Amino acid sequence: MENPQRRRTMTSSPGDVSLCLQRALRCSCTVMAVDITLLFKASVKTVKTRNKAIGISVDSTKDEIFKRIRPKSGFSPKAKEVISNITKLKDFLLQHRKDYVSAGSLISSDSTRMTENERDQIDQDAQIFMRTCSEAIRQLRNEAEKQVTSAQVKEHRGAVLDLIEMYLRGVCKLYSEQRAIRVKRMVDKKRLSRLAPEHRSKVEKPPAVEPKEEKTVREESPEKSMSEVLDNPVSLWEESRVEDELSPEEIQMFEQENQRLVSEMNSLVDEVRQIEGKVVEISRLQEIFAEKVLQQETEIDGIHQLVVGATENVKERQMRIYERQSKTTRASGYGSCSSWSCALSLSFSWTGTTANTTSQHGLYLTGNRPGLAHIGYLRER
Amino acid sequence: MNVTLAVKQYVSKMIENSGPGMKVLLMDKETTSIVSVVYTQSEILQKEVYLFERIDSQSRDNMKHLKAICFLRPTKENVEHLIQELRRPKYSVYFIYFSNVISKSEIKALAEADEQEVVAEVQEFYGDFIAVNPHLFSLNLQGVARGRSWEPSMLARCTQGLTSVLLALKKCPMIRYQLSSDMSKRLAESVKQIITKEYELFDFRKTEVPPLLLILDRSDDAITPLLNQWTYQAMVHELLGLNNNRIDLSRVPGISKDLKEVVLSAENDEFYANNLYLNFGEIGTNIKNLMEDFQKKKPKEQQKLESITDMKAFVDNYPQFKKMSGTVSKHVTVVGELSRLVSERQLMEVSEVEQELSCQNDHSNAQQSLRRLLQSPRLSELDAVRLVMLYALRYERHSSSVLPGLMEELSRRGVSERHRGMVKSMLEYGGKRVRGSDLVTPTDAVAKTKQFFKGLKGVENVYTQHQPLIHDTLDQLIKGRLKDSQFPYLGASSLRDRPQDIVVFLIGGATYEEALTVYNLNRSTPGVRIVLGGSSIHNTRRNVMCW
Repeated sequence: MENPQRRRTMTSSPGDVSLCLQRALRCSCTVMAVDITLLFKASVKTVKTRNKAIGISVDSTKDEIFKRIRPKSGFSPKAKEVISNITKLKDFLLQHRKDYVSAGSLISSDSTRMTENERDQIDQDAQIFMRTCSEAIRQLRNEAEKQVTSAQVKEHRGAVLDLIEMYLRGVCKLYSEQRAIRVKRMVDKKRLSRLAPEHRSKVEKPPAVEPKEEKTVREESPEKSMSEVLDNPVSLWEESRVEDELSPEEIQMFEQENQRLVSEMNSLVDEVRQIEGKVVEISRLQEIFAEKVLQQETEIDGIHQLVVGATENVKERQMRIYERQSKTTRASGYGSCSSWSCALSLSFSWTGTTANTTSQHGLYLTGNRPGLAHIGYLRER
Repeated sequence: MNVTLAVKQYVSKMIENSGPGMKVLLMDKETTSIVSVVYTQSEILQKEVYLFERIDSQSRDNMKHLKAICFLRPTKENVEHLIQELRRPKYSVYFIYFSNVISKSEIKALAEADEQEVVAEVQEFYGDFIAVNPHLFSLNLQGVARGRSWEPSMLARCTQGLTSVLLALKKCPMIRYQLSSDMSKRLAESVKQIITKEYELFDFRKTEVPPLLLILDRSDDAITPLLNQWTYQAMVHELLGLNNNRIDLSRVPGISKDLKEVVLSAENDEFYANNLYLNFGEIGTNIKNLMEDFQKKKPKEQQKLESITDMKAFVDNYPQFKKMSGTVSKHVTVVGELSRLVSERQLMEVSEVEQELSCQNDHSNAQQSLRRLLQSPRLSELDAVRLVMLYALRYERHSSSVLPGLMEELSRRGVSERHRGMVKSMLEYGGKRVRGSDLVTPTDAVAKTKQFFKGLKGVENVYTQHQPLIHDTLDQLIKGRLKDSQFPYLGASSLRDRPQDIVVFLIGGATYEEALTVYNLNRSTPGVRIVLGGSSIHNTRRNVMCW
């Protein structure tokens, strides 16, 4: 009803009937004028609020240049309402789709995760909503059929309702897709959480189960379950719930398998222990070995020192003897010869012993022993 | 202090306020006159106002692409019409302007009617009078008085008109009224009441010397309206009848169709503006000059229309040319008609006798010439009655008054009973008993001397020797010598200095002669500005009918 080009000068509250006259004493231009627009608008608003309170409807009998055709007894508004409702549902589903479909990983924060309860709630509400919408469409259709109108109008209404139905179906499809994903994921989860494959009462199994048979069954049932999931998610869901109750055969079988597994486990444990002990021993021996090697190294060092010292001593003595011999050759030759031969034999026996000890230890010695090389050099001399 | 300018500004502001777009101007009967006097149709058309409708006309079409500017008087009928209009609006937006103060209850009534909220603005623009000349306004009211007291509705209307003049001119005046007239006292009181009630409106910037409102009564000077006039505007009004600046020439023999109704407006007509107050002789000369000018222009245009540039120049100048030719033909027609009437009715002689009667003091002479004239067959009834009235007014109490004889003469001539009765009623109206001041016999020494000297000197122009009473009154007022005993102040305060802005209101109507006086006074005394107004503007016929 409002004319958009009109300037609004109203600022006071609508209920202020006792608005005092605001008179401009002097306006900006040179004429003397008084603007009573505010009072007028205040009165208009007062009247309007009063009318609204009383409930008088304003008769809009204005003749417009373009006459607005009134909607036919509410078909259009109702249809529009249904459409808006379906749109609301669609928006809601799309909005929560991500949360709904998410796998619920442990990493995600709690706020975005949807609990199962919430998902169930969404499912329920969506179903009720869709049911009511289809109900409304049906009602509208009946109404449209009952009303006596021209053929064109009937056709138009029928087409409108068909379109609404298609729209509703599209939204339902959205919903069912979401649901299917969710159900499939749940089924997979459930399947994986079992230790043995699911059984259907039709499939018979002997209690003594061989791993091979189990395997085949295992292969079969996943296929079956997959096809079941594809065909009828709802019913499988229910069935898988039912199969929680196991038959006694299966129970026994499961027990036996349990026992076997336990024994295997125990044996494994024992073996492991043994190996452990052996490993411990080996490590101990290793330690002793290392110790011994170190000891021998120190001994060799000592011996080497001694040898070096002895060699030095012998050299010195030889020098002295040689000097004395040279002195005593002038005196007598026998005494020195004998002493010289004694010294020689002494030195030879000494080096011999040294060589023996050397050969004895040659197995343990490496090549780089300068002291012994020195002795070797002495021997060559 | 220019009343035409004030009204024109109001109308311009009204139109501007509504913004661009096609507009329609909705008026009532009175505001139509108000607007038509200040604005020509072509001027308004330029401002995109393409349609002019009356609010009370029922056969208007729906035009939702137009904005409606309503300029109405705040009367009950107008409010009723407006309510009906707002209930079923024919236009897209309404800008409502009332020409005077409107009551709150009426605004509420309008607000209730405005269901579709088509009203954008409601304002009060105080243009509730007809601005004839810049210093002359009128309210176009007939039958203001009933006997010697106010017709109640007329009193209200006069008060409203007068207050709107004051607001338009932005004056909050001191009021002086004529003691001898009860009507003026009542009007003064009611104006004062309004000023006090709406003191916020009248809260103008105070000048050093406050303005003055002087309320006079026509009955004090009944002679002036009876006289024949010889200045252009006054003469036209007297002989042809100037109604809202329009002359109805339809009864003139041999008139062309587009001159049947002629607009004489000083705003748009330069010649008229220059010759408003010139007397007949001067007008003749000026018209002749105008014709010569026009003739000079005319053949020149028609001669060299050979080249394209010439043609272009001609077409460019054609509107000017057309305008000039229109003006010339108009004035020529009017003046021609005037002179025809003058010769037909022997107005020269009549006027001479009139002036003699009103200004001179020679009874026997006057009587003789009057009788002589009454014998003449060409004298019209109206003039005869007029002369007798003048005689009656002048020599009412004269010892050798021959009034009954004259009355007999009138009946012999075949003057209707009604007209004869008018003489009597006129005497009642403006007779000596009633007059506050002595109209013709001077009272104080100064005036006596003046008259004596005048008698000696002779007058420059026999036909214009009469000065209306208002001249003396205003003269005294300007010099600060207006007697308080005759013209008391309303209220305790009084002007200490000489007044500078004066608004004079004549109850019963003003005349163009008085307007001329005021104009001359305005010119001669530069520090003073006077605006004259009346409940109507008289000519003899109207005056006579009035009684």
